[in-house]
Amino acid sequence: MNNMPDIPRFHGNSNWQAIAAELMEPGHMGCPGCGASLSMRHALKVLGPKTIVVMPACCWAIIAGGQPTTALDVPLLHTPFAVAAAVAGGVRQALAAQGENETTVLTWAGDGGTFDIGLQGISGAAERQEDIIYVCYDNEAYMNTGIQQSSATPPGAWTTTTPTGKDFRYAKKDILAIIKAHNPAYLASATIAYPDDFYAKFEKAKTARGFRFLHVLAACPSGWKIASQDALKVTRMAVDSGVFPLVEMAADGNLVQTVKPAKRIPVADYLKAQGRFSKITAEEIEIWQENVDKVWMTPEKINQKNG
Amino acid sequence: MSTLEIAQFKHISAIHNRDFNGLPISSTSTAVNLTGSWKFFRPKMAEKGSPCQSACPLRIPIAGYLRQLAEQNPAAALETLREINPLPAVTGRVCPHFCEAACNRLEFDEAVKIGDLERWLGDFGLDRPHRFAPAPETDLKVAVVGAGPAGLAAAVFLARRGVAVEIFERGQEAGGLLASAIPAYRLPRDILRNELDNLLSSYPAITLHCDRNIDPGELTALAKEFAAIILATGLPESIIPAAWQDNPRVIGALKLLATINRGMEIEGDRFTVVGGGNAALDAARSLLRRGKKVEIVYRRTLAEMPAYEEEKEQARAEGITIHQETVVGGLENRGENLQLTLCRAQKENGGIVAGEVLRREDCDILVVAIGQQAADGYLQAKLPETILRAGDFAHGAATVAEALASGRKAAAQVWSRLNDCPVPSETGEPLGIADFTRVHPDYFHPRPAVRPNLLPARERRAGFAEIRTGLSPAETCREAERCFSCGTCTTCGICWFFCPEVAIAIAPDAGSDNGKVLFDYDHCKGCGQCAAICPRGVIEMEEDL
Repeated sequence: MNNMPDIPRFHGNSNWQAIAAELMEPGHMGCPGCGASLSMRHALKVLGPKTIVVMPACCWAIIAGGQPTTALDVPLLHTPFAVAAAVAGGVRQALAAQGENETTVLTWAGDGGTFDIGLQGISGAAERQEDIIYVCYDNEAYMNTGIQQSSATPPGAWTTTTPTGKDFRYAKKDILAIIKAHNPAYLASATIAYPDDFYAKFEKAKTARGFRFLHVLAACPSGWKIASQDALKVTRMAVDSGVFPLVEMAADGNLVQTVKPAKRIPVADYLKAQGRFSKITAEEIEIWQENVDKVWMTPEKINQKNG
Repeated sequence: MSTLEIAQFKHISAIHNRDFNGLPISSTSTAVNLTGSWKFFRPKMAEKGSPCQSACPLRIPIAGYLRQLAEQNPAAALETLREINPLPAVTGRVCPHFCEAACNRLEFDEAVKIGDLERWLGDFGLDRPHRFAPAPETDLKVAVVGAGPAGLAAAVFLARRGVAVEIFERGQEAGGLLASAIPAYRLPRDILRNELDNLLSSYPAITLHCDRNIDPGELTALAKEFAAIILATGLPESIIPAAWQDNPRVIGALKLLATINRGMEIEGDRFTVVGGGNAALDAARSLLRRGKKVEIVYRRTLAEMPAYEEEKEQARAEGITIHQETVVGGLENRGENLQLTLCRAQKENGGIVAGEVLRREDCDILVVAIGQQAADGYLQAKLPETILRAGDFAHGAATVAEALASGRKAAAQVWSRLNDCPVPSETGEPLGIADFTRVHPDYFHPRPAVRPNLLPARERRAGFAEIRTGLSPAETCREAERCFSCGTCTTCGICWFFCPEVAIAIAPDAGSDNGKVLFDYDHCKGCGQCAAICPRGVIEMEEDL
């Protein structure tokens, strides 16, 4: 039966039933329309029940539910803010010491715990080639504490600590370039708004060995000031405008684009769809567009930028 | 509400044994939190009609049968289609396909080739009898005058209700204009005969009397014999201006087409056709295929010609000259032939009259295709109000689909009158239309439509072979897959996939009020992503009170 003309193949199958098994529970504490919740749900569908999640302070530390509840059907270890990568490495080595080599150890951290507070721990884990998957679900600010700016917040974006928009002199850190410099075993950007690509990349991350890093853009309706039903649409626009290109590290170590959007849209469309960019000026949009155009999408250009 | 089985963690012995000193461990599902209380809006299933269905005079549930085709179940698709349209092999060929002009896919890439799919399915059904739910037999007898599409549809929909129907047809065979006026290159004779034979043999309650002309004067007597009479006598005569009526070298297009369709010889070599409708083009193109020299004279511009665009293009490709904005100002019968005075069309008082003389030219026969009218006796007849009309005779010249719809409606009206009940509806009225603003094709990919081959113009002129080739079964399936199924839940699972709350379940066969998608309102926070992404425009948000 072909129910799915043209729409996502559901993990290589034309039928949703192929991935029907859930490892996430309803009743979690995520806000309506939360992109991070949706991303976790599907990440676990790929990684399967033999997964241990290690999580620093982040939205998901709340979403997972308070004692005695948990939103995940796999073990989840909460850690202090700065040490998620280090703890995950430790868990993996402890498992290995017991002869358990099958279980995937997944660090699931927000942008604050990755771009800012956890960065040294990630760097160390990457240096030691700890055999873990590190997922940064990036909603571009400290959202659960009330939307404070992080170094993943894009310039021009409103947060409670950047009430007139983040200063345009300060760019969003290029986390892929930072991790790439550590020679990880696998590196990619993904978003659940492009589900086939998302599934393929988590699949690759699951089978690779060594330090693996996935940068997942996750819409935050409250923090981005968008309607909850628009979360997917806006995330797609991030990809289609080139603001968040979907790339992965090829065998030669270079980043290559994995999804070429059928139709490229102006950066302005992406920005104007979100309330957090309401104070951005026309000149700033133009600068942003130029920056995107410079790296737009051809692998050669991305390599030039990162190489 | 469930407590997580700690056994799920058994591959991690430390957790399984709760082997942690002083570490708090959660093992209850968050499902105990009834987060559904957060919401202000909630999703609901609201299936709708598709734009193609609402554009179709017959209201065929197109999305429904295309989906069955895509699922490679043509037998079921045929049932769905024939439940509403008893002549799909015919309409698949001759209908102008209002549905394709309304297709949502038109705004995405190209319309689904619904006509070609209908035709394929019609051909698939030529040797498969109609199946219908048997109705309790009644002792009602209804007379239908005219076995064209409207009369046949009226008979079929009455027969399905257990009514005995007698059809009186003045011609030699059933089909009406389908048999007498539509040329074989558009509707091959064997296809038409098979479709009609299959239809008539599927319904034993229908009796067809051919060569049986009913005069308006006979209707009173007929009314005594039958519980009701449906007049579907059509508009079988070409209108010919009074001044030309007695000229033996002037012939109506419908009469000419009937002669050609019966395979009879046509006298004369040079023909001029007056008119711009489909009948004019049919006449000209049929004459061309008989090796005649033919040209068309039309009083307005090519763009204003009421004939289908496809017909115009094909006629020109076949080399037929169309003189635009030209009228026949005079006609002189010279015994051997006719001399036409062709004049420039001139607009005057809202009408068009003959202006300056352009040229005079000779032809053997002038074919008039400027309109059609009812048969002789019915033209002026005052008919008793108890007699129902259907088809062209009721609503004026229109398409086959409209005639079928009119026949079906007449059957429903007769049924309602005879049983003193409300007029039954075969199709139901959809609650809304899933137009392009309501469907969300974000996760579809553009895919070009199938391109049926056309016979090259040179080969077309050589005979009456069908111009448009049919689709292969594989092409049919692929093309049917392009349908968005606007307004109908296909249990595609997109809503389930994108629900961040794990609060949607798909039950393909669930017959509950909620339809096939089940929402867990205890946990749904009302974010609305399912409604925003539903490719078919089925899920809607409503206020949660």
